[in-house]
Amino acid sequence: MPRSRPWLAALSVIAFLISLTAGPLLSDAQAQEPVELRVWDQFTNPTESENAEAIYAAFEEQNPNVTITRESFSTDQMRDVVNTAISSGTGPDVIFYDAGPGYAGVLADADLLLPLEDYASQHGWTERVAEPAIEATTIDGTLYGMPLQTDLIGMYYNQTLLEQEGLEVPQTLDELVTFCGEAVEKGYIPTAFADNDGWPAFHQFSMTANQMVGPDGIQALLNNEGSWDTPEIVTAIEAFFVTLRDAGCFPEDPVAIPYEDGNSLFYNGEALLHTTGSWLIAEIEEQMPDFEVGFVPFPEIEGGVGRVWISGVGSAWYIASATQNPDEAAAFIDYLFSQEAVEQWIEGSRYFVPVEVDTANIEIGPLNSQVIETLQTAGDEGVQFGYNVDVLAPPEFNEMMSSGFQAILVGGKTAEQQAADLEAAWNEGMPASEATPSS
Amino acid sequence: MAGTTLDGPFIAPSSSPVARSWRRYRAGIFFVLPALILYLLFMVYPFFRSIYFSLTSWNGVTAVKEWVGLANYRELIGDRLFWLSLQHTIIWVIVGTIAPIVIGMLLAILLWRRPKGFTLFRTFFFMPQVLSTVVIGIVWNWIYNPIFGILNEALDAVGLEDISRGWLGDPDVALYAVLVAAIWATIGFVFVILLAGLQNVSKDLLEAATIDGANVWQRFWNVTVPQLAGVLNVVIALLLIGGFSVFDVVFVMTGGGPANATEVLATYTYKEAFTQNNVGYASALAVVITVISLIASVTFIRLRERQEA
Repeated sequence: MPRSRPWLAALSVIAFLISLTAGPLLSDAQAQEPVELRVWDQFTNPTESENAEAIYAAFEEQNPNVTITRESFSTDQMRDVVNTAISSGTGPDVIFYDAGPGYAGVLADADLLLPLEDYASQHGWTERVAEPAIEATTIDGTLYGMPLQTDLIGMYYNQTLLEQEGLEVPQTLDELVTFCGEAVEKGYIPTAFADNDGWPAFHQFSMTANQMVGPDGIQALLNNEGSWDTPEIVTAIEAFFVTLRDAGCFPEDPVAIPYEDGNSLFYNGEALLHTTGSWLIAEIEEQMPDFEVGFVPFPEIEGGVGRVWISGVGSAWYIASATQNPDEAAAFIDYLFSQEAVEQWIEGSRYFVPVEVDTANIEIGPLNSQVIETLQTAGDEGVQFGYNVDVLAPPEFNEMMSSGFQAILVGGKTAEQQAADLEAAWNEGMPASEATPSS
Repeated sequence: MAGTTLDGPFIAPSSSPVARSWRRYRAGIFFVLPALILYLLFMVYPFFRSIYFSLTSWNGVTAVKEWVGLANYRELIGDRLFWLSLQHTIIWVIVGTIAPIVIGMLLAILLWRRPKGFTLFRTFFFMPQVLSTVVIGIVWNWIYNPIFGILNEALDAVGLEDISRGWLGDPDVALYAVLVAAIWATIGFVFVILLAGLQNVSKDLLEAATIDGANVWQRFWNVTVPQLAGVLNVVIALLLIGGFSVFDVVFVMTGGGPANATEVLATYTYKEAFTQNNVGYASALAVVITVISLIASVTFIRLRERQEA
């Protein structure tokens, strides 16, 4: 039997202790190695771009070993290149991309996006970010994206001009029809709806469909339960695209007018109402300094569930599964949702980040504050939030919304035909797009 | 004879024919090689790759490309939007080929005799050709805009307000409205080529025809046009091929709308590939565009060759 050697035992203990401390020291050393993060975003507007640069720079300052290489794309450009870039492994580490089954859903389905569950629990993301927003970027029960922008869709009104003309903000669809007649008589365009781009119709449909079927009904439809070809959906389509068209609520030839030109009609006071989203607030505040503007949900449609704010996640942050630096990418996203960055997103870019935030210290206008406060009432009794259908629908459905609603506006299609076509397009798109909202 | 080759004097008499050919042409081969590699890499390889994709149901992202055989082509036959896009493309090819040639020819003949202000007019007529299609699309969108567009303003000013409309929002006229913009942009190219061709037209023959009593139309049709045949062949073939693959101006001005009223094969293909993630189906569409375009161009050239013979 060998003799016991106490000095050897002591050395072993010391070696063990050193090994315990050397690990972290080693990983610290590794963490300090220079890391390049390629980030693709969609902040092409000069103000938003500058603000994003500043936020990225602040992260780099806090993480001197990380260099952000930023590339900015318009939404269309991003959609054109992202699939090829990410699937070929030459894409970014971090990407700010559209949520929804037709976009990030396709990438997640092909295992090209990194599941964020572990990082979410490590950094406490799910506690920090509002649940409905998290749901929008959760695919088949797995969190893939961190939603930066949540928007409200409703109806803007020019309070100054309404008061001047003795008009009231319409509360119901019938009142809106009457309002349109009165506005035209007074020489105004009632609403600034312009659908040359096709997508503005998506939001009008979301507003009326959520009212007629109810947010729960829309949620069921988005989860592949039920049909879009129902009398309620037909009524929803008719309410906006037929009733308001026939009541002269739109500018002449709305299908020929680009969205931006429709916005201008509202900015310069030619149109009194504008049914669109909260992404326009920064522009409204800048372009309409002499007008007081209000924002309300779409007027109530008879037979529906009452007025509903439409909310939806535009784009979210994702990490490519091919990244060599997932920890740094997650740290970057974590910083983007820090209190400091969130304030900067709101103040500099006028984004509505789905994070609880005290607006007292942020310099924003009254419309901005209203939207933030409204978003923070989610779940309160009496305030209904519906789904923005297009960000959760497959591309086939969106294409049918785009061409079909234009056809109705020019008198080439009925609401019944469109409801049937939407159902067919949904059925065509959903088997391919398995990435449905998890809720 | 050896002096005509690059290294002829150094060819050993005992070399094999292959070696002799290699030595004779190698310099030429090296000159052609870079272009050939680019052509193979960016034209031939993608073309055959597209054919392969068209036989799959690939969505452009997944690693696995499921083989579906001719299913995409069978689907095309029953696809209403495909036939609608094809119909619009054929209208585009016909109108978009004839109109620029007629107008371009007219302008070229007007300037043939180098009237006063020749350089100014030539520059003026050619100007649209130097603009990017995107710029042309945006500018014509402004012209057609129903709120502030100059076209409706002009029509209203001369009492033709009944004709005023949202040109790009009316499915009955939208395609032709986009075509007008495209024709305007193409005229410059056709005009310059035809003007150059006219410089080679024999004035002696025209004078002889005049002396023989031929009127203006007879001189143009029977003397001028035959002498322009070669130039016209090239212009028509280019316009045909360009017409079948038209994309940019339609995409910028209407995106294929309203309600698919301006959808052409290329915009439909783009939507299928990049919006709907149906890369397999879009590849089938691309192959069909190529085949139709080839058939039309080859048929036209053969017909012209037969006429000339």
